[in-house]
This record gives sequence, C-alpha cells and structure tokens, in this order.
Amino acid sequence: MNKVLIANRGEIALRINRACHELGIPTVAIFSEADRDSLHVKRADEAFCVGPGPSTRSYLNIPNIISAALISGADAIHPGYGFLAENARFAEICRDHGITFIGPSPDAIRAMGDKATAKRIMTEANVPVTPGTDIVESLGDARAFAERVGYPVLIKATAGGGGKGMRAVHAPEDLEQALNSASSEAQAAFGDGRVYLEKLILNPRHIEVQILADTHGGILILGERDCSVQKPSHQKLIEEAPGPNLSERFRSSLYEVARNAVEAVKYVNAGTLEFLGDGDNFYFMEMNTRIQVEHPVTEEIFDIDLVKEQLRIARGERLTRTQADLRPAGHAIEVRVNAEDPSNNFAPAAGKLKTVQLPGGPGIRVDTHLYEGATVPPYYDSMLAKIIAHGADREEAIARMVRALRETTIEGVKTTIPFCIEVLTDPEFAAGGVDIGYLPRFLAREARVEVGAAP
Amino acid sequence: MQSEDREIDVRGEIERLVRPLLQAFDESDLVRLAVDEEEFGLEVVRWNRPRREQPQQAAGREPAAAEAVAPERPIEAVTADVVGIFRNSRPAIAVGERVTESRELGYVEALGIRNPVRAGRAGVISAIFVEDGEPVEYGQPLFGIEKSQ
Repeated sequence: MNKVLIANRGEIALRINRACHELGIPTVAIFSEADRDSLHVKRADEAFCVGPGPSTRSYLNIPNIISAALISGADAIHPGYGFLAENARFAEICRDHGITFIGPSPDAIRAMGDKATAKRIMTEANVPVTPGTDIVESLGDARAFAERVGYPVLIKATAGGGGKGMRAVHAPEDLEQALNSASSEAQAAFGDGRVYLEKLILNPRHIEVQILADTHGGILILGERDCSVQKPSHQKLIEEAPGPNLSERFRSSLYEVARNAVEAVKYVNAGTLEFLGDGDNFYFMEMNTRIQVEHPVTEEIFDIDLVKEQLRIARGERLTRTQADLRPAGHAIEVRVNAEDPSNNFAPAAGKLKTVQLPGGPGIRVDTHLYEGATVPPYYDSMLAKIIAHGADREEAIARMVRALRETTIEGVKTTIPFCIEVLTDPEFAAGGVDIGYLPRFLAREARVEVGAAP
Repeated sequence: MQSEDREIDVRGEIERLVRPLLQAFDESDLVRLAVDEEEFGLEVVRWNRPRREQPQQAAGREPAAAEAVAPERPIEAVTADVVGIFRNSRPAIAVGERVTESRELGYVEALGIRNPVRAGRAGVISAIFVEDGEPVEYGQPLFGIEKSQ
C-alpha cells in the first residue's frame, strides 16, 4: 500500500488521514467545491476537487474519485462511513482498477446490504433474528404466529419501504382488519399486496458488537456499544461502551453469536453487528460493513486503533492483538456535537463558525474538522465534532463528559451541546440501560415542563 | 531619503498605500486587517458581515449586483468538468487564436475515456493555464477566453 485516497470529508477523513500518517502512508484527499477550505484538504499530502457541493456530484462521483486515485498513484481507497462506504458496486470498481478497497468484499457488502439475505444467512448461522413469518397466506397463519410469539406483532409489506403497508397489532381482535388494510395499502403503493408478520419489540435497547477480521481467519470481538440514546428519527446521539447493566451471561452469549455471524459471512475487515436488546434476549437487526461514527468508544476502552487495524488488514497482515490479550478498561461515552436545534425537531443549521473552543484535559478526546472561521456547508451531515470521555467507571466518564461539554464554546450555529448536558445529567440516563424510547420520552417531558411553566 | 521629504509625503503615502488596502479589504471576506510596521500601524475591523456572505433567501435568486460588477473585458474561464489528465488537441490551441463555441480545445482523459473540452463561447483565447499531460481536477481553469461582443 503506497498511497491511500480518502473518499470522504469531515472528521472521519481526518481520522483516516491520521492513521495513514502514523503508518507512514501518504494520503490523497478528495473534496467538493464547498469544502475547498476544509481541514481534511489541508492535512492530506495531495487533494483533488471532484465536483460541486451536492454530494451526488462530488463525494458520490465514482468516475472522478477513481480517476483521482489513478492519476495520483493511490493504490488503496478508504471510504470512511456514509457516502460510498457500503456501495458494493464501488468496491467492485475499485477492484477492477487494481485499487484495494479498505473494507470487506463486494459480496459481503451486498449480502449484508439486502435485509432478507442478511436475515437468511444469520438464521442459518443460528444467530437469533426477530421472529417472523414467510408471506402470510391466510388469517389462520397470521393468528397462529401471533399467538405463538405473543402480541404485539408488526405487519410488513414484502415490497415495502417508508412505512407503507406497515401496521402494529396489539390485540387479537385487531389482526384481521390490520391485515386487510396493510395488504390493500401495499397493493396500492407497490402493486404487490403480499405481507408478512414479525414480532414487534416495543422500545428495545440498541446494542451493537464491534468486530475485526483479517484475511488469515483471525477474528476479534471488541465488546459491545450501547447506542440507545437516539433522536426520534433514530439517529444516534450518545453512545457508550461497555453497555450498562448487562449481565455477563448476556454478554458471553452475544459475543459467541457475533463470532458465528462473522464466520458465516466470511467477513474481512471492520464491521458492526447491530442487535435489538429485549430483556435477556437479543435479536439481529443488521450488519454495518464499515467503520462506524461511534468507533472511538471501543478504541478507548480496548486501547486499540481500529482504523490502523483496517489498513493493516487490507495490506494482508494479521491482527495485532489476540482475543485473550484484549481487556476492556473503564467506561467510554461519545457525544455527537451536531449543528442542530433540538428545540426545533433537530433542524440542521449551516453557517460560519465565529468561535470554536474545544475541551481537553484528562480522559477527553475530540475528533473534529472544526476550526475558528470554518464554514459549515448546507449539503452534508450536520455533525461538527465527536467528544469522547473515558473514565475509570461510567460515573467518572459521565462527569468528565459534562465537564468537557461545559468547556466547549461553538458560536455561529446552534449545537446539540446544551441539550446533551441536560440528558447526561438526567437521573434516568445516569441510572443506565435506557431503551430507544428514552429520548423521545425525555423530549415530551421537557415540552410538558415548558408548557406547564408558561403563565 | 531625507527625513524632511518623508514628513511632507505622509499624506501622499497614506493615499498611495492605504486606499488600495482598504479597497482590497472591502472586496474580501476578511473581518479584520492589521498592519504593524515600525513607523506605521493600521487596524481595520468589519462590523457587518460582507454582503456576499449573507445566506441566500431562496435558491436561484442571485443578487443583481453580481452582473453589475462584471469586468469590462469579458474574460471567461473554460474549466475541467472531470478529474483526469489534460491532453492538447492536435494541433494545439495557441493564445490569440479565435475559436467558435463548439471548438474542441483539448480533452481530459479519465478512466480511458476522452472527455472533450469545448470552448463553450465564441471568442479569442487569452490564456492557457494547463500543459499537455497535466493532471486536472474538477472546476480547474484550463483556458481563458475573451468573449466576442
């Protein structure tokens, strides 16, 4: 690997640039016209403008990105997260041009990208998946399934998407009517009225497992992350590792299942298996075939550099650690500092940053592309920075995070910082183990307090 | 230079040095400009955001001022719209050459495909910014054309 092209922007482009430079690998940045003054462009050894602001014409412009790699002599591409990271066709095109795609094989990306295929592979590997049916042929089939797994159940359209043809059924007497209306809605929307049923897990926890796998059959299970603090749009806001209040039995079972899953997919490179946690049970949701935004919390507790491991794996090297010498230490929390207004449904903001003062001190890590005077363009994700706090235990990690957020000043756009301080100091969050319904409930509670306080 | 001459010249010097500085500052995105020389100091701070920094209210509503301040000599840049290696057409275009709108000035080779660079407007080639075999990025100026009136 002589040179790596980083096919991304923002903090993750900087994160990859750092890993490459630590390994002595020169880098090539790509950027859109809106990102000309971005930090990732300045930090890379070379940079190519690949298109105008909108990402469909720049960060998703495959011909221009491949061409930039070829003319700069980059023999590997790191896709980061988002954009082309889980595009199997892009991974294939890289391969066809003799460029190493730093990630799993196109086949693995494709298999995990298709929900039905992923679920089938996992079921065959004895990974628990949300109980469900094949296409429902009769009301009797549906009734038998619902009685076996218990209400509530969810009716979903085979051709579905965007919530069309989807119905939650909480009681047996509602099943028949819900089946009929879901089916006719699906028929109208997709020209296909076929539906199936799934057990509906109300307010589960979001528990995910970080894995690494090399080309020599080496697999590392790097514990779990709890990402249950999600906005109503299901975007993660606060993540932590390890997951609070989980039994050792739950953990060992989760790790065993994760190992089976990685072997079944013949997976190589970094990946994340996402599960719905429901009491003592967990169910496979999906596998993300890329590095994730929240990877630093795992890095902090295991003292490992996941991006450098990705580069080494792509070079055909073995993992630098063994499962036996991986020991988690303490607790880590990540807060996503977004240019968003939590009081206005997390509406994204863009603009020029007047003041940028970032936190520091013991146990604090900041991954960001911000600098004073930087512009936040309107075209991309609204994440400005990730602040990661590591402490001896969860209590210390939370206290450090609150202290770090209070040290931070970002002026020019509204951010999620004040809101995250409120969440982190909420007794329910402090108790640990909240479910994905927590943040929407928190928001509703805050709204009620405001209405109640009004004269 | 004699000291008497300098004293006499202060007003002239300010006129000569400061006015273009202020003009450049006014046209820039800068919010603060400081000059700190041994015998001369100047600091200018902008209190209002520059006009063109203000967010556009609606897409497609360009401020009319943009047209009004267009340069007298209408020189326009022909830019690359793909990333690749620039190649001259044969024979190569030369400065001073009159071109039609559809004239191919060269091409950008990308992934084995030849992407023609066309003049896009009729006029006279006033500058060539790129050499045969040079890597070019999206939006990079390749040629300057003085538009025909």
